[in-house]
Amino acid sequence: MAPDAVGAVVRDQQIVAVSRAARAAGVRAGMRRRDAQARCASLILVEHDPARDARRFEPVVRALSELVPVVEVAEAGTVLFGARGPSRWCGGDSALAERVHRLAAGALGELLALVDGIGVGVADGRFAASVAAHRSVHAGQPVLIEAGKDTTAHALASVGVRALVQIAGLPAELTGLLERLGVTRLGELAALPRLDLGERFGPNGIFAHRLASGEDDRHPEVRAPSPDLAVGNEFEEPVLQLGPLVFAARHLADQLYERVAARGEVCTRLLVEAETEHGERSDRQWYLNGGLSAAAMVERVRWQLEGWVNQPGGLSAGVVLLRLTPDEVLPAQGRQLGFWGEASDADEQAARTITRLVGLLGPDAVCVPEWRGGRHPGDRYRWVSATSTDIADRAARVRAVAVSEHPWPGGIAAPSPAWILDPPLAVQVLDADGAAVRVDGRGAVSGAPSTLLLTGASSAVTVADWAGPWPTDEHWWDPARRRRRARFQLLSDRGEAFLVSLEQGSWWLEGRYS
Amino acid sequence: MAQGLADRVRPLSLARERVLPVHSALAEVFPEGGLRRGTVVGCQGQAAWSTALALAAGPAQAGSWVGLVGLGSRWGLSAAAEWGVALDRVLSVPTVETAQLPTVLAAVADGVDLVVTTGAGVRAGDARRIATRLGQRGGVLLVLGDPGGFVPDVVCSAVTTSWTGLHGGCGRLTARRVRFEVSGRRVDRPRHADLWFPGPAGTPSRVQTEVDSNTRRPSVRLASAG
Repeated sequence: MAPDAVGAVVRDQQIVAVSRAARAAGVRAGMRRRDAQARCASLILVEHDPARDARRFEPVVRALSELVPVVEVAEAGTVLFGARGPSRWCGGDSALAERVHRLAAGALGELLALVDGIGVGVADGRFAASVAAHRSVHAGQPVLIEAGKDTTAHALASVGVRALVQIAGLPAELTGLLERLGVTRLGELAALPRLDLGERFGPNGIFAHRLASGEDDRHPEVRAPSPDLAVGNEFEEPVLQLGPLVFAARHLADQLYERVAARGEVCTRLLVEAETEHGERSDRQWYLNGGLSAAAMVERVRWQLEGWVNQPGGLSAGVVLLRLTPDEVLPAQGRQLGFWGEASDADEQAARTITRLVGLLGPDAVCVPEWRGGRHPGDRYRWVSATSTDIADRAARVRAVAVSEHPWPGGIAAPSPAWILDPPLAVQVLDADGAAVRVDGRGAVSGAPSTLLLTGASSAVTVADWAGPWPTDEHWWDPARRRRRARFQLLSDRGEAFLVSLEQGSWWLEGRYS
Repeated sequence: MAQGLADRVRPLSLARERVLPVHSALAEVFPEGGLRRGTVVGCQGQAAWSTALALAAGPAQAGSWVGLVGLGSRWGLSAAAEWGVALDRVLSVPTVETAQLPTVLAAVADGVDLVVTTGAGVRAGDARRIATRLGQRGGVLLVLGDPGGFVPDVVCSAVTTSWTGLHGGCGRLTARRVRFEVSGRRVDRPRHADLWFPGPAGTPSRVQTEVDSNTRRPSVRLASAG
């Protein structure tokens, strides 16, 4: 995407991120795809792809690791690190913040023009520092919050409670309820008695209060894992390619996940270390609120190593060591196997199967369905590569929210064809006189379909009954993507039903009601 | 450890562990009320794909995963959702080279309870090995259309008898009636049912026999003798 492009990232029909130019055009995160396109017809939409984000963000992380030995990546776009040491070395927090800003800007290069800016915040703890960094984006300069509980609470007081969801990962129901109760700012939340919050909202309420009061923002149950959990692999033959490294990581992640799970815990922060024969190192911490599954660990190792192995200039020698160390663990919740080990067991096993198949056939060989929405049976869901999605988040991925809430006008009602032809197959539909059936601009049919000729198969299908046309005119605002189609259902004399469409004089077989 | 303990204290195999559940309208047609684990099931007839969707819905809702091998993007996901297949438990290997097909089928069969594929490109020897693997692992393989090298233990055949909803240019397809037959070497005698597949409400159900059932009964007797 060009630096001045009007672009946005879309996930589940919702805009999740916008470029600076798109923001100027009135597009905002949280909008529905169609609303955004209505605001700005030339909007370039790209699908949400965490792997791509991680790849593009890698130079920034690499640039920062010159300054800080180990940085923690929460998601692509956000890095956290302990500032005390580097700050002393740089000569103070503000000098450090400016240095970080410079390094990140240099690493982003021309991508910088796409984003609103780089925010750098220094504060006590992950939460306050992230809030400071967000504020810094708009302020245009680093935001420092002085150390100490009271100063932190004071600085957070004017922040909306929604930050608890966006930054600390607390459930949205909590803040939704708080807002309805009239508590909209963290300062107001901090002023409430903590015990009452605990009574009303449980542990999350207490945790939220602690964050708002500027106290320790680690999840209360987070603990340091026992040191013998680390798993590693020393390669006798130095490895230069990414494939075998990821393959090795897969075994390590499985092992680690099982060891941690056997103690009833999940790993929320993972340290991934790799070293080459010549002593070049890549150390990263990866953080995920709810804990990392084995597949999520492999994914993060892949992101890290991909950027490292493919960095400009490349590595001078093969990798000889790969080690995964759990850094923080949480007691596992709701992931416990049933006594007979069914449901969640099946999910873990399926995730392992996917990993194995990917190792066998390549990263894009395995697909899972994702809900997308659309008028045509083949559009409503689509297949996405299993490695590019978080398997643990499956339920959210396929939920068809819009089916009940926002119906697609012009869609054909159920039942849908069980057999989809994608791409569609060219066919011919003839009327009783043997002439091709046409539809005029007003939707009138030139003659009743009586024969369906499947290209390739010599036998003609006799049409016993039919319905249609159902015209659709999609993307009419964009000449390049505009599609006008008229669809028909045809029923053969042998009881087979077909979904066919007519587009610019050509007939296509789109599906069979097999 | 929990798994080891579970294995040790498990007194006998429960019915639901031997059989994958299917939709209640179909359950009566199957000798054991569902798909017996470790078997190869053929889906044939005009409604073969819908049969596979209907058979996948029960296990997927009960927490099993469904793995599709070599079906490209032909598996209608909208239809699958309508039939009740939990799409968050579906994975697909759309295209597989023939040489790798047995390996991929075995790998998928190792990890999921229900595997769906077409018989094309699998030789009898490989098919036997995969069937053995299924037997050990307790999965079920659905083979769409021509079984190729596979020898189905159970064959489900769904022949369309009528579609309703179309009226010479008007209406739309709403419901279908099929004659559903379960036969094969693991079934002592062929079993039949007349089903709405799907019915006007979108789900499969038994066709309620009219009060005068004389016309129907002989045909059942005739078929079960054959």
